[in-house]
Amino acid sequence: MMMHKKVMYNCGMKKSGLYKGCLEPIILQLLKNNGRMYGYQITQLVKETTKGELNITEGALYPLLHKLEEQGIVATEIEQVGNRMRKYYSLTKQGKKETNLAIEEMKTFIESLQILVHSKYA
Amino acid sequence: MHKMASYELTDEQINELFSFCKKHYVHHYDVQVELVDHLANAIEEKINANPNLSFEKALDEVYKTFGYKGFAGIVEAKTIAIEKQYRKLRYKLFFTYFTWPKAMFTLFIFACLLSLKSIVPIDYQNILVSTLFLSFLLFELFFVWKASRPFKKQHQKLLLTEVGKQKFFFSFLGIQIMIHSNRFFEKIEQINWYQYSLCCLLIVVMILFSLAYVELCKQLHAKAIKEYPIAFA
Repeated sequence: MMMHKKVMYNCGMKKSGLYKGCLEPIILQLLKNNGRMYGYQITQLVKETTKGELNITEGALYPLLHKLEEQGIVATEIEQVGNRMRKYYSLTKQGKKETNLAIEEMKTFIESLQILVHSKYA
Repeated sequence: MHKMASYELTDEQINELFSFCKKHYVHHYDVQVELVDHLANAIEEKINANPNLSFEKALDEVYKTFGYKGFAGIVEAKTIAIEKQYRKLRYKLFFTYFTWPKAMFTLFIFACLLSLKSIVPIDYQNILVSTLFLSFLLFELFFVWKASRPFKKQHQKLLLTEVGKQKFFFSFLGIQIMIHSNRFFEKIEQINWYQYSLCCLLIVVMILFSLAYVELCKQLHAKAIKEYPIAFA
């Protein structure tokens, strides 16, 4: 948990390379918890939850969402909201399975990092 | 707790955002829709936080968050994703012709083409392959016309339909084979069953790819009209 906080903190320090690989599980987990979400909502929720420590840039978010759509991990629906259209993303059946795997992988990765950081040889 | 009346963009400002996207080389309506919603949300939040901020200034600030590449990276990634998605679907549709019950149709065409060799008199067999490839060219043109028909009512450019329905003209490949095979067949004067079967197999594969293309265009049209009815209104 401590390590997780540290990773988030570093993201705030603009060390985007540190969280690049974690972006996918983060988004998948958000979609799993919130049902369907739109792009801007995802960026804001991450920002709010991490108290501004982690900022997902538009340039990283949308290409990833489009890739997940192509892979059949997320499905999209478009709705008219006020005077504009909004594209919502939600997990597909396959996406729900992938989310569990991705979260497990991320946890293992964080544990490994913890071991490395706390190792006396590090 | 009552929420204060929040600032919302007007229809005119939304149209300005569409123009802004076009100005920044986002020409497809399906990409613009998502970007306009993102920009609009971010601008509204900025103005709500600072009511003295003008729309133009807020837009400028929001656009900067897209980084030095602006919208280019997003458009590029979406194009790649759509290409990949519909290439996979095209192959999936193609391979359905090798599974039951469509495999019967595939076998039927192949058998029909093969039987032509027995029907056509031996003196004309050297032009049989050329005739088949030329007929396929006509078929392919018909398929392309048929596939493009539903998109005639589309008046907004969509990346989905533009990239998804990209077509490879097999006829060109067929004509190349025809030119070379004719030279070859002239030498031996008569084509044997093995050569003829290979040509038939190739034509069957090309027909199936064209049929898969028509089916793909139908699916693309259905998706586009469902998601972006305004593009067809």
